[in-house]
Amino acid sequence: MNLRRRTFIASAAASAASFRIGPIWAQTPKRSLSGIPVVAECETVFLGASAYALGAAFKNPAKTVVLEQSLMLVPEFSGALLPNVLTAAEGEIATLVRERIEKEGLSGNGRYHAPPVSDVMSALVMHRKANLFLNANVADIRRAGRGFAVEIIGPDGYSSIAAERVIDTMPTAWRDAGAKAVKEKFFAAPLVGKPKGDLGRFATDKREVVPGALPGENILKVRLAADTDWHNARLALYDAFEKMVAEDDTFSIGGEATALGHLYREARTQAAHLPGIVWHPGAQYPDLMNALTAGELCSKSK
Amino acid sequence: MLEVKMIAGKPVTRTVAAMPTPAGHYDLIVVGLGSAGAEALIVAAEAGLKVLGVDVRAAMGGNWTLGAINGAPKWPGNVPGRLASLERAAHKHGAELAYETSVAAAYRDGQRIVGLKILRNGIFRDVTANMFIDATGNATLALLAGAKVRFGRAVDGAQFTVSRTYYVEHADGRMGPVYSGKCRSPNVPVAEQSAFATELAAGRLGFRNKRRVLVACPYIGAREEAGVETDVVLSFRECLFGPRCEKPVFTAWVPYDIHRISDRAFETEPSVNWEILCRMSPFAYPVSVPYEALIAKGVENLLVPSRHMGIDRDVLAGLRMVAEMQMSGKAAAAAVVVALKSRVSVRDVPYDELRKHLDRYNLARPLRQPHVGFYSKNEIVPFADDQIIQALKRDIGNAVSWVFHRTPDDEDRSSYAYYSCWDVAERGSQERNSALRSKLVQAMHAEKRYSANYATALGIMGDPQAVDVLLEIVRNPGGERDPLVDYAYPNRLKAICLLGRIGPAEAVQPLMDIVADGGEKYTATLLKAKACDYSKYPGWVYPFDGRAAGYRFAAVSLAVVALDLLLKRYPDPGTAVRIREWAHDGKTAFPDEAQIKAIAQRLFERT
Repeated sequence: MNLRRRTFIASAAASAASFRIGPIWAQTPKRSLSGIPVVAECETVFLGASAYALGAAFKNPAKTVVLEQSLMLVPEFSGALLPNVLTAAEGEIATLVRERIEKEGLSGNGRYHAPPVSDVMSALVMHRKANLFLNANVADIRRAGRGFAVEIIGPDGYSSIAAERVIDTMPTAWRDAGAKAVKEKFFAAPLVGKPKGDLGRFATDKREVVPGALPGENILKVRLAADTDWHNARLALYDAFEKMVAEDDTFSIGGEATALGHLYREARTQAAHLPGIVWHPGAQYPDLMNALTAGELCSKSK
Repeated sequence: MLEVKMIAGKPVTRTVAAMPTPAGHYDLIVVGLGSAGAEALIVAAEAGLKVLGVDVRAAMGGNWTLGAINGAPKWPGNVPGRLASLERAAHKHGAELAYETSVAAAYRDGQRIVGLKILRNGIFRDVTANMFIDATGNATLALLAGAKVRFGRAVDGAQFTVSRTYYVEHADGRMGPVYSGKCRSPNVPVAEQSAFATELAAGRLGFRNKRRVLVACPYIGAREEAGVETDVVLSFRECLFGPRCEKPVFTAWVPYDIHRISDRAFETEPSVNWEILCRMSPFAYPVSVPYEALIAKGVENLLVPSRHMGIDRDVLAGLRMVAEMQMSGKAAAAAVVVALKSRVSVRDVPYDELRKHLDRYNLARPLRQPHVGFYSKNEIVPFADDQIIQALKRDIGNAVSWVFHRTPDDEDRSSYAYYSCWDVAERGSQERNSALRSKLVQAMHAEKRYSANYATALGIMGDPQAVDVLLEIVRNPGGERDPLVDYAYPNRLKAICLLGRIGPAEAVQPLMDIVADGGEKYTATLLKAKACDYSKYPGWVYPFDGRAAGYRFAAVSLAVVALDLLLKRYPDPGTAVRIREWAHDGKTAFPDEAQIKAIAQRLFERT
């Protein structure tokens, strides 16, 4: 892979240029015909910093670039808060992640404490010298030669990445091409306080309370229709919570998930929704370790 | 018509016949829904405007919500409560939200923004509006609109520290933030950079301390980003000494708080006066923001509340707080409402009409108090001459004790005495000015042990009669005029600074000696002073870190700035060559000296 350092322009919004994490950066970026700098060339570009994508990137950092729209890593687990089951690790990368989760004191009760897991992955990005572009909103993907030109908009505007293959791991796929594969969404929130009695009594067809890894950690999970957006997800969460506290006001919401959860119609979802681009949603995996191992295997399969 | 895109940090324009057929038209589009933008959106929607809010994140509120800023009474509620209040208010008033959405291009016709091309997950949408607000923090829209933008400190572009936060549940059940802050020297771009964000995120793991994390905040809390050139720019001096804006859009009392940048020598002269010479940290200063500070210069229909406002960096140091950013957003929205309902341009908004809207949110309340202790909340009456003399007749201790104790004490009085001298120099009558200087000179000669205090006061007033005492301190640090005082911010550091401003040519040599040996001899005895036990306060580096390197950094950085000033008044090619050689020698005598040398290279290349 050949990554090129983009020129840092302190006098402009360029203050947000993504800079080097990974191993090889050249000094002068190539420019596309439209003047957009090609900031990286790689074998595989992953859309979405899912566990599947990072499993592959950690295994083969020198040939992989991961693009993430947000600032969070493994948002489908860490951000969504659920599923939080900690299964056995198979493979080098999953073992590495599991060890770090345990070292940070984030495991217990057969589960992991989800929010800081994004930062565990950040530490491993640095350790493995993985190539990661955060705040990267994918604007266009075009065929270019034998591979693809992936145009992104970041805080410093447009730039481009050249890749031989593109694997889309975003929950509904780029341009929402996979939206119809989603069966339903959910929105979670950590609860604080000490609710009385059995938490099972709060369960309805629209909500449930799921235990977490740490003592007293409980998570409210609200089920949503597949087409629910952020705004309506929040309104649904607040309504569900208010109905719960009307029954028992000894607890409250302590925060909100930073990613919506997704459940799919098919147990194994993979599609080529655009010519040559594989959509393999990272959120389809039932647990973090499984997703990491699958990503590691994906890297080997090239 | 021009289509403007940002490519690699630069706006790139191309001429187009027309913008694509829009998918929607709005009265107002607010880009950036942080503390300021969210309030602007809701106020405008509440007033009946058709509004669209655009943000790259998936929530409103910025530092107030996603950054989990907490802990002060003026920022009520917990994080989920705040998110709920914003989301429900937007819903109630019919504001349209475009989350996880970037601005891909702007369309300009002359000096007007006509519309935007926005992008969410690969899907573009063209939208138009009559008015626009840029509250992104990094001036995304202002840059596309052709406005001029400034970044960071003049000398090196450095910006205030940024944070990544965990919102945690403490052992006693309270909820609140813990921070991982970082200021990458020397030039710290605060907008999201992948590596910087990753390092910050990994770093905050260390601050968890076994606590339960309720939210790993998906956000970098910036205290400073881009300032947009506006029709009027409010300065720190105007805030302190007037004239005060008579027709403000909002007013506030704020503390100067640039957060853990210890290299204050490189800040502006008013900042050095406030923070180093007077040690006014316990006090708030008044800010009265004129409406014109919200109008982007050269653009007809763009308002720029938030940290973009037309305020200098020193004003921003205080005004950057969440509550004040929210006020700026409300004020901008109120102006848009009046402009659209009165059918006038943003520059012709009638203040009387605007004031009715501002008063609805209590934004422009009168600033009655003369000066207020920020933490002690005590009102302080300006000192008379004799009070100044009396307050300085003592060993001046650590005026940063407020950080830990938050009660008014004697050090606060000395700080205020120094500030009163500055005040008299800036706006006192000639008679008052002369009388005070005479009394200070008299006291400087009469009270040998406290002569440095009086010399500092004279130096702040720009009086060269202080020079002999200041030179003696610099040549003989630790002498009887420079006693070591527990917790003190040492007079010998203040003396370096003041000699740069008022010193004679003889001051060059001793200051060059301080630079040449990395401040080692000059600061050696300071460590004998009982330093504050900073180990009790992890994370605080204020003003020094209690270690030798902190004092050395301060001495050398102040000496470099002082030499820059002196050599401009007394050109000395030999010293200029010497300092250039020192700046380029590639050696470092203490951690972070390279930062000083990098700045010195810039300063003395042009000498």
